[in-house]
Formats: sequence, C-alpha cells, structure tokens
Amino acid sequence: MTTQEFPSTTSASDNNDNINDINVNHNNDSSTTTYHNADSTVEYNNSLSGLDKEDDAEQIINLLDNDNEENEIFLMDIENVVTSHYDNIKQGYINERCAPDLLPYLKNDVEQLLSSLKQLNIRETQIRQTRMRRVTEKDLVELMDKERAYHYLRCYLRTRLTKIESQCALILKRNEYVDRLSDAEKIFALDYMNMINKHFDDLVWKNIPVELREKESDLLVSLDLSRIIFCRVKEDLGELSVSDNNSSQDTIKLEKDGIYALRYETISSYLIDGSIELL
Amino acid sequence: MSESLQRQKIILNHFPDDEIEFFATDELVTVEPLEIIEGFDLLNKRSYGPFRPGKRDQVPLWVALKWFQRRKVKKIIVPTWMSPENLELALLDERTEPEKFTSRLPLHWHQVYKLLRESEVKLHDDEKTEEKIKTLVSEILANRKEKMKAEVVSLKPGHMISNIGLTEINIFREAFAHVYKVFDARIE
Repeated sequence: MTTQEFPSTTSASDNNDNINDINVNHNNDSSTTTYHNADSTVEYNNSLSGLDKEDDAEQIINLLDNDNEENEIFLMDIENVVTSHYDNIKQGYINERCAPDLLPYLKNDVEQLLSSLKQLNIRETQIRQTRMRRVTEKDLVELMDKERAYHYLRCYLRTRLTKIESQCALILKRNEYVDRLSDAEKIFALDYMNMINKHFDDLVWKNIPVELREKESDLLVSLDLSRIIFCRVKEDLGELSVSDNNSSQDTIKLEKDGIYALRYETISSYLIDGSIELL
Repeated sequence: MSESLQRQKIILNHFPDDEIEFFATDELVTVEPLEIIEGFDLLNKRSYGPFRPGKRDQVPLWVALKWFQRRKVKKIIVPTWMSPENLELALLDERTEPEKFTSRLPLHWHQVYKLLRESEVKLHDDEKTEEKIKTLVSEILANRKEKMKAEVVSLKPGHMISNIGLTEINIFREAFAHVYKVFDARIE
C-alpha cells in the first residue's frame, strides 16, 4: 500500500501538466530556476532581501508578475510559515510513534507534501532532459531535502501501518478510530483483519469445538492510555487535572513551551487539536 | 541519511539514537562558505542563501555537515551555547539546582554536539579549549543522568521538566517502558 502512495522519480515525468509553470533560465552558468506555484510564493519575499542585483533581476520580474490571487495565498502562508507540511509530517510522525493509540490521519499534509515532491520530481526530470546546465550545489541540497521529506513520509505511514496491524481489531471495532483512518488504510485494515481471522480459523479454531471459541477477546488488545508521555506545550492551556487514583485533586498549569511528563489520557484531546506536541 | 535508518523496524514508543540525531539535523547552524553557492528553498518553506565566500550565513545542520564533508565551507561556527563559558555556567547550574535542568542548553544539545564531533568539526580553534568543551559536555551529561536516576523514582505525572534534552527524554522513555513492563508482568 505504501508504494502506491509514493510516485517514483521516473514515473513523475508522465505528468506534464505543470511543466509550463517552470522556468529554467540558461543564459549564464549560475542559472536561476523559478517556480510559479502557490507553495513557493512564500519564499519570494524572504528571498528578496538576499537577492543579487544582476542575476536575479529576471526572477524579481517573474515574481512580481504573479497575480493578486497568488499574493493572497502568499499572505496567508506567511502566517502559517512555521507550520509547513514538512514540519507537520515530521511532528505527526513523532506524535504517532509516541502515542499509544491511533491519531487522526494528516490527509491534507500528506497530500500537499506529495504534490510538492511531485513537482520537484518533474523539475528534476526536465533538467535531466535538457542537459544544458551543470548540477549545482543547490540541486544537490534540494535533492537531499526531497529524500528527507520522503523519509519522514515513509516513516509516518509505516508507523501508522505498524499501529494498525497491532491494534486492528480494536480500531475496526470503535468508530472514533475508524474515522481516523485514511481510505487506503481502511482497506488495509479490513484486509488484514480478514487475513488474520482466516489464518486463525484454518490453524486453530476449526479444531476446537464451537462452544469453546473465544475469538474476539484474543485479538482485542488493551491500550495503555495511562502511559507517561513527554510533551511540549505550544500555547498556554491553563489548569489541567492530574489526579492519580482519585486520591488527590492535583492540578498543574500548562505553560507555553514547558516540557511535561504527563499521562497520555489527560492530554490526548490537546494532542489532536495541535496545542501539544509529543517529544 | 544512513542505510540502517531507512530499513529500521518501527518500534512504537521508542526512538533509536541515530533517529533522534536525524531529527536534530534540522537545527540551524552558521557556516562560512569557501565558494559562491546559489540560494535554495527547502520543503519546510524556508529560504537560505545565496552564499558568498567569507560571508557567514545560517543553514540547517544537515546541509552544513554535507558541505563540510565536501569542503564547500571553511568551517562550521559552533552554536553559542557550546562555548566553554556557557557550558561552565550550565554545569554550575546543574550542580547548584538539583531539582531542575539548566535553561542554557537547547532540546537537541547533545545530538548537535555528537554530530559535530562525529564529522570532526573543530569545536574551538584552540585545542586545549576544545578538550575543555568535551570534558564539560560529558560532565553535564553525567550530572543530568544522576539527576534522572533520582527523578525516575519520584517522577509523577504532571511533573514539569522544562529544559530537558532529547537524549535525556529518550533515556527516561526507555526506563519507564522497562519499569512498566516489569510491573505489568508481576501484577498479572
């Protein structure tokens, strides 16, 4: 299933829709490459401060030609600049790996990151096809960056698959968890469950009298939701009750940027709305 | 990225050391380039460069280490928190405040230090000072580990452990996982 989600470098060339959006300038050795998509417009202003007068004059003109619609997106992106899809997937992966239960699927982030990666792949194929320019240090860094993004994506999806495999019966039984699966994961979970059931039937249950069968209880794992996790609080969240065994009513104040050791069940809702991240 | 990291089996609630080192490579460091390098945009929507020889600029640690390997940068300027003066103060904090971790070190302090050392980046121009930095770092870590041992016994949910490093968290995580496993096995 994972392989379906990742476009390989070679297959990306099949999609030529966006090729016109990419402008490669071959005038000199240190050629400049500019994308004209909404995602990259955010860099435009950042890069203005560091631009060279000569080589980048054309780049500025290109950027200024963007219509108003794109500028609006650019303004929106500035506010969200700290939480790029890349960062979200990285943090999502860490959260997923530390949390005992399955977290909601980061559909938007996965899709957006994949589409940015696809565009990078298209550009790479284009550069390879033209063979007009040398491979620069910039190309190498961007290639490595791409690999890193793929790594985090792979890890994120694989972590979820590991979790789905180990908690399959529980996830499929409870609607709140089923809603957290992506479409592909739902198919995977159902297939996996059927396979496991069939395997157990063939191997064990068919040899045991009907009245002695207790299939379900064996597959339903219990989650350790009271496990202590380490988290960083991203905004002031006020008081949180951390009473243990109902004996005492302890509350603590969750301060911005504080790192706490807490029981998972007490903060799971904050984790889903994004005001807390796991470490 | 190492081969082993790509093929690792996913174990929930556990990160191997090389993986948290990989997370730390997104931290920013200052480099002094040796040649003209074009600026670049990364997928985390941040732009870097353009770079000129002698002009110091910030890049993510993974770029810096790659460039250092390929001799594209003269040197990587170590972060200010890794100066011997700051480390001395940090060690003093660690010793005087048994309940707290010093606020002078960032979350990824130990990973960044390890990565720079493994790539043979000079931590200081003076060799003696460099040795001093190494000693200070190992002393701080030893001190923090002692503190954590005491903490494992007393750590209750709701404990604020600000300024703790990721290396320390990883040790805690492992310790807890182990302790719980023992308890669960015995009580059942």
